[in-house]
Amino acid sequence: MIQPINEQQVRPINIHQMKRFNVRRLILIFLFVLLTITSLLIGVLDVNFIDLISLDKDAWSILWISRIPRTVSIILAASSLSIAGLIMQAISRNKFISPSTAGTTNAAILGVLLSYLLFGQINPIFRSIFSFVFAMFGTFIFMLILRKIKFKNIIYVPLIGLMYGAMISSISSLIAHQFNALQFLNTIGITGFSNKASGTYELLYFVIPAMIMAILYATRFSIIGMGEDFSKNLGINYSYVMMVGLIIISAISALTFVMIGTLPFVGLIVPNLVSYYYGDHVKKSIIDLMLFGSSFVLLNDILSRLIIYPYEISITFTMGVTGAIIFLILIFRRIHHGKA
Amino acid sequence: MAKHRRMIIIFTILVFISISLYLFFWMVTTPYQLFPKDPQLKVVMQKAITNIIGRKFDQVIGMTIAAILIASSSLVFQTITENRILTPSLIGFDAVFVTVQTLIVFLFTSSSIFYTNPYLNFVLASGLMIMISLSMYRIILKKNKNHLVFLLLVGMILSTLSRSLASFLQNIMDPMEFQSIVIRTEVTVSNMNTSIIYMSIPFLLIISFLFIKNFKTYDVMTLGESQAIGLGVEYQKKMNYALIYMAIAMSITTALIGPISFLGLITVNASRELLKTHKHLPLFILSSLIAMLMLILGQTIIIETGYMTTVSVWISLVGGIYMIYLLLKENQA
Repeated sequence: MIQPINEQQVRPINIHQMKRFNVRRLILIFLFVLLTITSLLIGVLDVNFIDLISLDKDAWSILWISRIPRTVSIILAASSLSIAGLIMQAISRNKFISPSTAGTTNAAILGVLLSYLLFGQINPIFRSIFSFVFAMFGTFIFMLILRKIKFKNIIYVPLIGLMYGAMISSISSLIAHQFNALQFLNTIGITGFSNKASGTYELLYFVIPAMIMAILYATRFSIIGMGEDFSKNLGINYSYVMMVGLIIISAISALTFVMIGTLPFVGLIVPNLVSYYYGDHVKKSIIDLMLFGSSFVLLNDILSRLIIYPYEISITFTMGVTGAIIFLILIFRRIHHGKA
Repeated sequence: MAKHRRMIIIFTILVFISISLYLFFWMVTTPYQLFPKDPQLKVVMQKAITNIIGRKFDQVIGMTIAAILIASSSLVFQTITENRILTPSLIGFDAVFVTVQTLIVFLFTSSSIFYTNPYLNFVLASGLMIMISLSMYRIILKKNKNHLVFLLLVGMILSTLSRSLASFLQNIMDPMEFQSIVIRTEVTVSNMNTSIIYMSIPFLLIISFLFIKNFKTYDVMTLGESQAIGLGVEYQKKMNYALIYMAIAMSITTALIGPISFLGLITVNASRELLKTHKHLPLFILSSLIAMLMLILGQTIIIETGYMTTVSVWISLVGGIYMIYLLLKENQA
């Protein structure tokens, strides 16, 4: 059961490396700030530094009403989704798993659909709660199945997860068909960042407590990934920590899903890239993870706003393309090194 | 052997019953008087009846083609992956199909001959799909032996990539062009692409012939790679060929009836369970029959219940539950 410990953990970290780590983080912070500022300044209406410094009223109100909500929601959604992916990968000790390949997103869609059918166009809070409950339930069942079975190859797990997700989706479309809600079902999950303005994004702040919880429990998540017996040895309540992890994952997935929609690959690629450069120590890399995830999504958002300026394309498409390309590079690198 | 034959005969009879139900059952439930006394009306009705039955017959042929191709390609795919849960539709052919059609419209517009002529369009789309999958196999399988799982993973990613690309192109193209793509790509069992049914029959025959010819080799390959090589099978070569057949089979079925991802999983596993054998020939026959039964009977029921839902939704629901059951059962020991 116990995998060989990652090399980076064993090797004593010398000063040289410490320095390099910090430089890396500094570059990341610089990149993040740069992208944030760019994201704030891009748009159809011209907002530039000179206006802001001269306290131009229009410029500031555009910033407050439209630009800041958008940028903040990108940062919150991206960093929380990367964290959710990281926790999921730590718990299941499988690098290819993420909320979108474990049925979590599909279950969240089912929850949104049911809340719509039962209560009509209710406010997003109820919708989030519904999709949260369903996401948790769906993920829980998947984790239960995973624990029951042993795979020859861990890459089968996301494939099984995809099929599991397809099954949940078929339940959704069955229900939607019965109640004439297929059109609504098709609109779920394509919200995007473009309509985020003050008044429509505040619910997203609820991911902050989930992120704090994740940071507090970070080490415990990596421990329970080593197996039930091992974590008991270290004095950790396995099922309790597992439950906390599932709640955090489901809360983040449901909230970002209801508010933003699907962001393909964030939960999958960002944790993989970060652990490639920083090792598997969850607690040490979690800040870099958040920075990296936000920068990645900010960059994609800026791209999708600029490609057919002054219109914009959905970020789902941009993320789908860039994320897929990065992921392919990652896989081929692994193949090249012969690490399956 | 006797048991195999009995099973196959039973399912053949069931398939025939379901085909006749599909062709003729609507006559019982229809509110119109089918054989009126008035001679003028009689002629009209007769025309209508032959018309309806002819169309239904086309659909039966289409479903049969799809069923046989899905069953055979899933069976062989499970053999070469040494896994009973996977089906080749995981490689994401439906997304590639949508992308190829979008690209054709984007490059040549929807009024071009590449799009309006069903034969040319089919050849072009299948050719492109086969080329894409072949280059995928070549890149992944040539560099490193037996990285089939990576192939699956890459396929999964590629399907997201191509879906995103297609959505992007569809977003920036003319709405009329977009409509014509939707009509072409949203094929289901009820809304079959009837124009290519008869031209896919020769492909079906060639592919099934190639599959059946190799069944003895696949039987050996069931034993595992090293055993098969030890027994004199050119494993890598045979596997590559099998993947090529699969690419052709999948592109035909996707163009014909759209994606039905769980059908292969259900039928192959059900026939394994019923026959308790590892021989490919009886498995192939029985799983094709079961696939036909599921598609045709399912479609009959759905038509008679007034299109409550679609066949593929039911199949993925049943298939998903069956998959979880299989996973739990297989790994209990």
